[in-house]
Amino acid sequence: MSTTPQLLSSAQVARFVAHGFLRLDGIVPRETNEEALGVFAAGLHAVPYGTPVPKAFPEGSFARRLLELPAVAGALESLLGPDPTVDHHFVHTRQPREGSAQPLHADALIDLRQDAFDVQLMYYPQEVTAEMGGTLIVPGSHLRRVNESDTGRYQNLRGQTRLTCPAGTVVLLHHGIWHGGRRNDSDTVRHMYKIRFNPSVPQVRLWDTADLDTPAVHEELTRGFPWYEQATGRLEILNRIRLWRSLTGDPGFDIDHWATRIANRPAAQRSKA
Amino acid sequence: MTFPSTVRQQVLVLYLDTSALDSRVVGWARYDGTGASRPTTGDSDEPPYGTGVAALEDGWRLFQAAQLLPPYPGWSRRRRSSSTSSSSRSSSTGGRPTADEMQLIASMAQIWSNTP
Repeated sequence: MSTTPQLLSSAQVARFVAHGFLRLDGIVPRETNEEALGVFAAGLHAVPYGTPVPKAFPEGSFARRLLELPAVAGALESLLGPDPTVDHHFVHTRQPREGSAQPLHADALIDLRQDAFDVQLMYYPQEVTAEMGGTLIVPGSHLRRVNESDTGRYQNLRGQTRLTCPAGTVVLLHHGIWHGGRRNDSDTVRHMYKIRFNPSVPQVRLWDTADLDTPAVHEELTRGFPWYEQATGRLEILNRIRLWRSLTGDPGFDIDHWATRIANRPAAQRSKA
Repeated sequence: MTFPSTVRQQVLVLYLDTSALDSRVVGWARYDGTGASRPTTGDSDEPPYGTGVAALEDGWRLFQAAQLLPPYPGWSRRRRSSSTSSSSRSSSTGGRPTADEMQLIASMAQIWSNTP
């Protein structure tokens, strides 16, 4: 099996920018998934905030081997660059028939950064069925800045993803994504291992940019979602333009003239001259 | 304390595409005061009604619709002072959103309704 990190394409990164997450279904080997439950049962060691990955997860450790899977390593490097630090890690457990779900929330304070983002890795060692209450994810919500669980009153939004997946699935999420652990209505304990990463380098053109100017990128960045309101949903496109400008280092990038139009101030330019 | 003869409320919250009550439902939430069901986050993919008016046609009574506040710079967040589950006296926006949140969320009109 190849150990070379599989970098994302521009279209895949654009999809992440629009959706706020990237799914890697069933990519973790069966024996690793079987090992995971024992690792979780033994308990995770504490990792101080901001610890470099090699120090947080020594060579050969379970987490390190998970992160070294070529698809995982390549996706993380494409989004975060080399040498990200570990913010924290945690095993989320949803007990059988526990009766309630988490409120919809973002793992974030009001985070106003436009030139950086954290990535959260969620790993599911078991098959997750609809009854087991997989993670609820709202596509395209990550750039709509809110304060943690202030979105709790939204129980359901059109186009939401109620995650079901095969064992060994990894999902990488922008830190601002609206999500929540759904109610587990099954008789099976459900585990999800989460690692949050902070970037340590500028997040600019870190992926395979060979397809940067292809129509697929534009198609991803202009994608709408069923829960977007007619008017305010448009602002998501503007948010994406800003993020894509930052990620590509191209301050002139635009979609259908939207950002250029509202920045056009001839009088201000004249006064600077 | 319970009151056996008291009618219980079911509360339905619809978040709409625009400020018009006949616009498309984009989000929804339910609360069942009878205890017969336990609606919760992420429990359905399709809304109970396609529009706000469709809920009215089916007998739900509107008792509050969100006030739309225009976004403007410098709006700072304060914690909400009342629970959104307090039905008829709930606040319209559930607290003061930040400027950014306000820009992006304010037009989600909502209907708070209960059964006839």
